[in-house]
Amino acid sequence: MDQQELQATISAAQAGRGEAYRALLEAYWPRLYGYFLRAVGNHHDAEDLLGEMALKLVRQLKSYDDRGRFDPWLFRIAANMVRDRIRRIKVRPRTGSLSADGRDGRSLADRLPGNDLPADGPMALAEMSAELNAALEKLDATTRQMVLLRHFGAMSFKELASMFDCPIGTALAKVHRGLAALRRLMGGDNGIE
Amino acid sequence: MALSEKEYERIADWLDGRDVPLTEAERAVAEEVRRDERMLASAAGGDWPRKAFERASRRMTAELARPRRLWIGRFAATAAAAAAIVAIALLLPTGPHTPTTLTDGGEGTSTAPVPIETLVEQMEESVRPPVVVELLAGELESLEADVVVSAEIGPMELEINAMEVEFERILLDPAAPWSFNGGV
Repeated sequence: MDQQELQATISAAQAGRGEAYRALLEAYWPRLYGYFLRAVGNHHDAEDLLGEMALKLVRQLKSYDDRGRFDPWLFRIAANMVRDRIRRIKVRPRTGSLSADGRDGRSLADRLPGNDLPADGPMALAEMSAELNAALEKLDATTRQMVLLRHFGAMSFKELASMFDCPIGTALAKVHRGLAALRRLMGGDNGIE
Repeated sequence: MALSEKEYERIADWLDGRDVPLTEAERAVAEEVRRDERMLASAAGGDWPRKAFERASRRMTAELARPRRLWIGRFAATAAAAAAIVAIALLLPTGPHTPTTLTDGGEGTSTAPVPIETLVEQMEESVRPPVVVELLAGELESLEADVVVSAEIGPMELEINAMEVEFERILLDPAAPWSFNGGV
C-alpha cells in the first residue's frame, strides 16, 4: 500500500467504512504479528495481541491525525500493549500453561493438532526464529523495544527518541549496541548473513 | 569504538535520511547499523499463520457492528416507550378530574365516576408490553441479526433511522394530544 493509497484508506475508515478498516488490518497484520511475536516470544500471546490491536484500531483511528505518519502511530499503540502484556505476565507467570513456550518458541497451544504454523515449518527457519527470540530476551527491555520498533514499525531514530523520551543519539546508541549484541548471540559475523 | 552523544546524533540523522556529512568513523558505525539491521530482517521475518489474521479480522468485524447494535437497541427501546406512552394517553380522560374519581368527560353528559382503583388497574395493564410491541421487538432482533453481518449502512437502516427521527419528532411535539404539556 503506497502512501497515497494509505491516506485514502485511512480517510475511508475514519468515515466509517468497514472494508477500509479490514484493508488496513490486511496490510499491517504481518508486521504487527511479527512485532508482537518477537516482543512477547510466543504465538499464543502474539495472536491475542493482534486481536486486541484490531479492536484498538477501530476504537482509536478516529483520533489519528493524518499530518503524522501512520506507522509510528500504530506501533506506538502496539508498544503500549506489549508493555502492559509483559507487565501482566511478570505479575502472573504462566508456569505449565498451554501458552508457555517450548524450546522451539511454540507454546503447547500452538502445537495442538490443527495449529500447525507454516511460518516455522522448515527446521532451519524454526531454529533461527527460536534463537532470535532467545537472543532478544537477553537485551534490556528498552533496547529490545527500540530494535523491534525500528524493524517492524519502520520508526526513524527521531521517532524512537520522541517515544522513549531520550536524545536521538541515545536512541541510536542503544539500537547500535542491541544489534551488535544480537549478532554476537546469534553466532557472530559468520552466522546469519 | 566509543562515540560521543553528538556523533551518534549525526549518524542517527544520516540514517533517518537527512543530508549530514559524516566522518569516516561515523560512516563505519552507520554501515554497521545498516548491516546488522539487514541481518535482523533476514532472521525476524516470517510467513505468519493466516489464522491469526482471520481471528483478528472477525473481532474487528464484530467491533464495527457494535455501534449499530446499540443503535438498533435504542430504536427498540424508543418504540416500546412510545407505544406505552400512546397507550397511557388513550386511557386518560379528556375532562377535568378530581383527585379520587374520574369521569369519561363527554360534553354535557354526566357519567358515573370511575374509582381510582380501576384507573390504577387500567394503567398497570397499559404498561405491560402489548402483543404488538413484543412482535415489534422480535422483528427488530431479526433485523439486527441481518444487519450486523454487513458493515455498510444500507437503505433499510436509513429508513429505520428516518422512522426513529419521525417518532421522536411526534413524541416531542407539544401540540400532540398525548403531550404532558398539552391538552389531555
